[in-house]
Amino acid sequence: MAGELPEIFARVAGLLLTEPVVDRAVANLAQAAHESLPGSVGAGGTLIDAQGRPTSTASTNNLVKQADRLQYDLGEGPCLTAWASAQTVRVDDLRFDQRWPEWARASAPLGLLSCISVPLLVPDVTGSGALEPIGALKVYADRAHAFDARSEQVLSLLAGPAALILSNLQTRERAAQLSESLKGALHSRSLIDMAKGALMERLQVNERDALQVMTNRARTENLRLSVVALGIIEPAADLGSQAP
Amino acid sequence: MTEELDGEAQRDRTARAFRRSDLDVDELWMHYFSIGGDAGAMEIEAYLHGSYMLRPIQRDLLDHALYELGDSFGD
Repeated sequence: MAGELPEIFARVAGLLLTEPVVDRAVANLAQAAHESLPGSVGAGGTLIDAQGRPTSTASTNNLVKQADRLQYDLGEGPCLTAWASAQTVRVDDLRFDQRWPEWARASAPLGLLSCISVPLLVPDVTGSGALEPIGALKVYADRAHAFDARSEQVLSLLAGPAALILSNLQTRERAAQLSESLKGALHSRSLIDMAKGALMERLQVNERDALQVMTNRARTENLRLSVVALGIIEPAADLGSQAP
Repeated sequence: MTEELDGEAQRDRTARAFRRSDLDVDELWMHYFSIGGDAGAMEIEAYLHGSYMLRPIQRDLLDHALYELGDSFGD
């Protein structure tokens, strides 16, 4: 086992560093976890936002996907606990585990009896030295006591570098998304400003009243404000064919 | 005086609608900004917490941003 670890590391780093998209990187990580732990019938990775909502999820098979979805629907389960507590969570036999009664009942038909879930931890943004959980990595088995302290170690070793890489990818993706939505926002903003000015002059009203005319029309006709604005600036434009 | 009361009533309504929604302040701010809002995200957050007052037109814009992001608005 010890000899395999450097290989696992190299593989995870290689898989994640060459992967430009967060979703696919999470999928690669899940696959690596599944292949690194004997007894695994499937693994999954989830990135969770500060509100506890999953943002990226990947599973190596359908069983894991279903077990995971139940957790997030019910708001309880080993991965959420691992994420919230920033601690590794091991379940040796789900039939006798009292920690998540609803999830245990709901997921019983899936036949998953043991699992390990480790938090994905990155240094806190405040630089306080604390670790911030950004998600969880988990492996499931269909028999009881499939995993031990050694498996916990292997999974934690995988999770360490993976968390850092995923967090960097996430930051990059968010920056790209932000610049896209800013571009859109600035465009819509200037359309609305122009239309507001045009209405103020046309109707001889103040700014708030001009805006009111536009928001009333938007609500009555179920259109975006930017679409209404476009119709005011370019009266000839066919509103029905305008994309929001 | 009525202006002030109106503002507070509007703020309460908006804050309640925001809490019922599944949105975070940043999402709401970005949309509010995109339809012409001038206040910053921190001011919006303070307004929703009841510790800051926005000018009338900014309140209307925030209401409309919340409406466009809500479930009842279909594209």
